[in-house]
Amino acid sequence: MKKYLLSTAMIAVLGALPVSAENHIMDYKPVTQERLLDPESSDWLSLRRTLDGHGHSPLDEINKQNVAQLETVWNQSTGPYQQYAEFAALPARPAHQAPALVNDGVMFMVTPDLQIIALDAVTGEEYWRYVYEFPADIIPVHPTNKGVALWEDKIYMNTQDAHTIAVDAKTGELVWKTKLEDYRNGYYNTAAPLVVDGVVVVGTSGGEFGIRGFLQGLDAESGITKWKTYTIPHPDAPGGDTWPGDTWKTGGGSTWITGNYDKENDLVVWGVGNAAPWIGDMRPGDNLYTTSSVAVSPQTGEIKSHFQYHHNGNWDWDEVFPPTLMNLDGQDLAVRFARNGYIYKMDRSEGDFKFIEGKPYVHNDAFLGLDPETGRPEYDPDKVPGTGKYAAYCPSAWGGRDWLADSYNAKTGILYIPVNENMCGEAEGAVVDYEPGVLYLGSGLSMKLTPEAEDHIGAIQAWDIRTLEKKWQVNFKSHMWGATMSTDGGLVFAGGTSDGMFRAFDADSGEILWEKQLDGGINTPPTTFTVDGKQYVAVTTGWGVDADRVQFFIDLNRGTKTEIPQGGSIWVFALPS
Amino acid sequence: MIYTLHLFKILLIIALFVPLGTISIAEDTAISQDSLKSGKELYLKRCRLCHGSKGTSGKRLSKNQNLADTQYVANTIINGRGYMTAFGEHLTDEEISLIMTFVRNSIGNSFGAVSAEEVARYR
Repeated sequence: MKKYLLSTAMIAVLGALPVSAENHIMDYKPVTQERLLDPESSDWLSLRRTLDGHGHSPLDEINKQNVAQLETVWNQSTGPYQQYAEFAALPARPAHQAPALVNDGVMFMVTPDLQIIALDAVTGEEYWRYVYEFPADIIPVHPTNKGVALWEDKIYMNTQDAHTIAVDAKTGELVWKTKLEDYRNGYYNTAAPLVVDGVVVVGTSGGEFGIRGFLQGLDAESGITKWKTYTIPHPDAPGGDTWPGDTWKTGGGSTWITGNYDKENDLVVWGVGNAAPWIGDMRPGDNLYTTSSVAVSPQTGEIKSHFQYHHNGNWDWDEVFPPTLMNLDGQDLAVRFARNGYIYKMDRSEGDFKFIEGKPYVHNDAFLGLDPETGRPEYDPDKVPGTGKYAAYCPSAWGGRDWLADSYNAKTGILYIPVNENMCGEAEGAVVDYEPGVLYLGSGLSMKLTPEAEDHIGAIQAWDIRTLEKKWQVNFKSHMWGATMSTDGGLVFAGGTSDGMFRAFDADSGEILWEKQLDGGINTPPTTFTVDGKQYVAVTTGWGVDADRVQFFIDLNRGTKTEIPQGGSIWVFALPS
Repeated sequence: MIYTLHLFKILLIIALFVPLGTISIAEDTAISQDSLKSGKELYLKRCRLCHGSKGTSGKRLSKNQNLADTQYVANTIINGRGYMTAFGEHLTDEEISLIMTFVRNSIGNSFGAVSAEEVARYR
């Protein structure tokens, strides 16, 4: 694992001090609810640019006719890094997973060791750097951070020791810090917050430790908790009868990917991970609200509705990525490519999830099919592992898609999704006792490649959401661990392959129109913005965590050893002046 | 290539059979209370998160016959195995020997002490 280099003395110097004398950032433009809901085309203010999760930009200066001319404007390391932890609990290098957010020419980046960096988006000049101080005994399972949220004049970040913090956008000084849970009991947080109307909504990681998952709403100004809603209901609450005995207390249901906001119904739509332990016969029942999407009031935390993709899960198929929200031909839809390998198209016009249609987008042999009315799957019993019962199944525990974001072009109705296929899993359950802060899995974890993996594992797929038909697919022998970004320039950008390539695809055909090998693998979502009318594209290298772990299993299967440079730098591209 | 690693098998909890203190093992090697105490402290700091305080989480260490093979255990700690982190860069030979001595002589095991010199030979 990479050694972190930033000393305590350096932290004292760097922490929260502006490093630029003359600061454009002092004219910082506050981020309002109106701007988050309808951002200027020049900005990328939230993880997926718009709160409905589209990951699409209306910019078209860079387009399919000229993208081949794209060149580097600036590139610089996000280091120096601080002393974080000597090792991860499971082997993995720290990964950059955060998109570069841009507000009026000011870029914000967060590093795996929890430094927030504010930079000039055109030059890369650093305005300030905030360094979060870790407890000395942190041993991360997922050494990463997936990004910050912007609201008014503050920047919000979640931490490995289960806190949420706010810093001043102009200076990087800490404004408030709120403890969510005790990290010693397995709680940690790598996802970005979501801010809706002054409420900072946050989730939690730690399902593998048998936590009780939750969503929490904090006041954006003070950090004071307004509400906390558990994703594993109390026995007396609705859904509580889906958990036997005390299993609800340690049922998992983490919420480790940031949700989207359904403005038509004023609901936060968030994904809930799988149950703990991983094997279903240890907790008979549907186990609500695990492996579900939940729709929650951002002001009260009340769960208004939910949709469960698969019940009593067995396969570590976290369903944490939120549905992409859209209005297509006058119909409000929620569309989700689930980790279990199926697409789900749902009507959300009344604030709930009415199942319309579902079908596989990668091979799934554990489901015999979906109920055409409800979308509830029927399982092949031979593909269901149990306590003392071995079963092999497809897709693998990492699913058809893991946490990597899709993008959606509302003008064409086409959605672009990074997927993995031809990887299957196997598991056998064994009785496990709960101990706070200790892995609580109840089974092994392994992956095997199918013969078709010789052709490809990773891919980008384009789907017509009107017809739910696949339009094209571009395959890679490598697994795919990068989010997509589409633009009105007729392009789809993505990294994610083990060769460290950053690519632009023709959105109509999937043809690769431009590619450049960077200094490391790319797990971060690309973003695009303009300053003074000129369009830029940004992406950050920094390969690690589960992208590394899956590569380990691929190499084990293939008898290879793939060296993937870690990288750790921001790249900004534009057309020649 | 198909393989069947089961890296996180989690089996029945086993109580701590062997009380801390000076104990005798098959080879008649006395194990001091201090070394067991030091080994336990290191184990709880470095190993508990995955294996649990009683060796019954993650890959089960309690009543695990593989622990009888000192070379296998030392190699696993030094170089990692499957989903286990390689600790060779993070622990000294002395620290590895203390952890090995603890897990081999507690949590349901009784396999004898390991010296730092023996660990060094497996590096």
